[in-house]
Amino acid sequence: MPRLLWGLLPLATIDVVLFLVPMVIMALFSLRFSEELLGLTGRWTVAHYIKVFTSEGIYLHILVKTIVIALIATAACLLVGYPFAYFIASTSRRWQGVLLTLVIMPFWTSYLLRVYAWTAILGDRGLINEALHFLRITDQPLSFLLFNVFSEIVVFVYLYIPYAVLAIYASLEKMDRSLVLAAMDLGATPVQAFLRVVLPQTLPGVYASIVFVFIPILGEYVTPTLVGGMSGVLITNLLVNQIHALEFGFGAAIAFVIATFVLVLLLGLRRSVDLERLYVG
Amino acid sequence: MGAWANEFLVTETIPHTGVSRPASRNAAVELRSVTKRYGDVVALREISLTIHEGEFFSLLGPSGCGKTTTLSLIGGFIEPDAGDIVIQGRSVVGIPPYRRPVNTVFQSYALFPHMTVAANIDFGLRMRGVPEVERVRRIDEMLGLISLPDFGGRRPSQLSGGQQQRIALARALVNHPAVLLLDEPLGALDLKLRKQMRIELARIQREVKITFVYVTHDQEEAMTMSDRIAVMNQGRVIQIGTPQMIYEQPVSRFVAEFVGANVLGGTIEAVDGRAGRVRLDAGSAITAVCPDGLLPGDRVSVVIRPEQAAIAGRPGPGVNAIPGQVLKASYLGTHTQVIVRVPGGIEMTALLAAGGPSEEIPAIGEETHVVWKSDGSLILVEEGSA
Repeated sequence: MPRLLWGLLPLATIDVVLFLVPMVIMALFSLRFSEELLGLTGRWTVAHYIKVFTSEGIYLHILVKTIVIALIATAACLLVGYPFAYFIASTSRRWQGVLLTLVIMPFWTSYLLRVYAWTAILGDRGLINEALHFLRITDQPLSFLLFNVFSEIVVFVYLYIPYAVLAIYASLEKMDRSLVLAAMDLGATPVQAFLRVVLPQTLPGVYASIVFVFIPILGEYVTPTLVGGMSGVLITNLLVNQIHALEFGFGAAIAFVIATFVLVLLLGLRRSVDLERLYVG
Repeated sequence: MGAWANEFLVTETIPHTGVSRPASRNAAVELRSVTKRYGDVVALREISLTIHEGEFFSLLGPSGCGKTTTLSLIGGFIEPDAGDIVIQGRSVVGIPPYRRPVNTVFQSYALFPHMTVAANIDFGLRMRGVPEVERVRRIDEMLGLISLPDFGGRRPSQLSGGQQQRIALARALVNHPAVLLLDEPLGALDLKLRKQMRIELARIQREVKITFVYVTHDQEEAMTMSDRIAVMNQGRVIQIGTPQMIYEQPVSRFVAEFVGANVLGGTIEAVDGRAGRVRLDAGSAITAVCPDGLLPGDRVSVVIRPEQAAIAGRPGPGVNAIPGQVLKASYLGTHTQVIVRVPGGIEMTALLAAGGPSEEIPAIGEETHVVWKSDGSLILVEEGSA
C-alpha cells in the first residue's frame, strides 16, 4: 500500500499544485468582497453569485444561450458523427485505419489556425462568397455566413466532431457484430435492429461524446471571439471581460456557476449510463 | 472442374429405414446448383442438396469447406451468385433474413447483453408482433424446454457458457421457425459439456420436431446427432448419407480420412472376379473386395476402419498384414487404441476391443503387424484430388 501511494505522488503533486490550489483561490475570490483590486481580504459575501443570476438577467441570459448553442452543436455532432462512426466501423481493418487517421488529422494543425481558417471560408471575400459570385448566383456577398451564431455553431461542429466520432467508433468497435445479424435473424428490420440493439449497446459511446463535446463548448472562448461576432457572445467572453477588468471575484463566481452546472450534468449522465447496470444487472 | 465433377462425386444415399424417427419426405430446404464466390475465391461450387422436414441434418467438413457459407445462404445473410434456394417450396433468393422462416443459433451465441434472458427470448416474438399474453406463455414454455425455468430475469453475462448456449437455442426456437440453423454451437464449450449438450440438442430437436441444419467440423458430433450428414470439402458436397453410410461406405479418400479411417495408397496388381490384389505403396501386397471395372495398374485407396484392424506379432495365413512399429497404445476401457507406423511413414490406427483376440496391450517400439481380413477393407478408385 505505501508503495502504491509513492507511485501516486507525482500525479498528486501536480493535481494539488495546478488544480486544487488554484480552485481554492478562485473559490475564495468568488466569496470575498474587497475594495482593493485582486484583494483576498475584505468580508465574506455571496454577492458575486447573486449578481450572476440578477443584473437584469444579462449573465443568466447569456449562460442559457451558451447552453442552448452547446446543445445544438452537440446534437449536430452526434447526428453527423454517429453515421460516420458507423460507416468507419463497418469498413475493413485497413480502411478503418485510414479513415481514423483522417478523423484525427485536424489535430495536427493549430487549433487557433483552424478556427481562423473559417473566416477565409465564410467571410465576405471568402471561399463560399467568391464561388457564388463567380457562378453568378449572387452579386452581393452573403454576410449572414460569418460573425454570428450560425458560423459559431458550424465551427463548433467542425472542431468537436472528431471527439464524437472517436468515442462512438470505440463503442461500435467493441460491439459484437453478430448481434446485428441475430436481431435481423429474429425478424428485426435494419432500422429496428439499429434502434433496439445497436443504439442501446453504443449509448456509453454517445454519452462519452456528449462529455467530450458539450462540456468543452461551454468553455469555448476562441471560437466565439473569432467567428461569433456580436450575436455569438458566450458566457466565457463575459467571464474573460471580468478577468480583464480585474473583477476576479465576479469572474470566479461565473466560472463556478458553469462548473456546478457541468458537475450536475456529469452526475446525471453517470446515473443514466452506469456501465455496471447496463451490462450486469 | 465444373458440374460434371460434382455430379460424379455426389452420391445421394437413401436414409436407412431402421431409425427411430422416420423423416418426412417433404423438403424443408432445397439448394439447387448454388454457387457463391468471394472475389476470385469460389466458396461454393454448384451445391445441390435437399433437407427433409423434421430432419437433423449436419454439414460436416474442415474449415473453409463452405459449410458456414451454406448456412449463411439459407439464413439470408449472404446471397448466392448462381442457383436457387427454396425453403418450404418457396424460393427465398433476394428475401432478407428478417422475412425468412428461419432462425439461427450463432457460434458466439450473440445474446443481447443489454437485455435479460426473458427479453432476449422475447425479441423475436416482439418483432413478429405476437400478442403479449401469448409471448409470456411462449417464453415460459421455452425456458422449460431448455431446463432453465427460473432464469428469465438474469442477464446473459451472469450465465455460464452452457447456459448461454441454451438461451440462444431458446431464442431461436421461440418463433417456431421452419428451419433452425446451428453454426458450430458447441464449439466454445469444454468437452464434457459438449457431450452433454449433444444429448440435450438431440432431445430438444425430437421434442420440437423442427428441421435442424447443423454445421460442424467435428465428425463425432455429426455422427451422434444427425439423421443425415453432408460431408463437404473445398466448396463441394462430397457425400450425403446417414452416419452409418458415411462411416461404412465412404465414397472418397477424403471422406474416409475425415471419419477417421486408415487410408493406404496402392496399385491393382491382379483382379479375379470380386477379389483384387493390391500392391500397397508401403510395399506389402494385400487382397480385398474390389468394385467392378478395375484393371491391373489402376490407382486405388484402401480404406481400413480402426475397429477392423488388429495387431499380430506373427500374422496367420489368409489375412492382410503390414509390418510396423508400435508408436502409441492407449487403454480406453472398452477398447485399446494402438497407433502403428508402417513403411512409408504412414500412421495406422487399430481399435482393439477389450476381450478380443489380441488380449495384451503391445509395448511402445515393439515390431508388429497391422492385420485385417480381406473383406474388412474397402477399395476406392483414386480420382486425383477428391
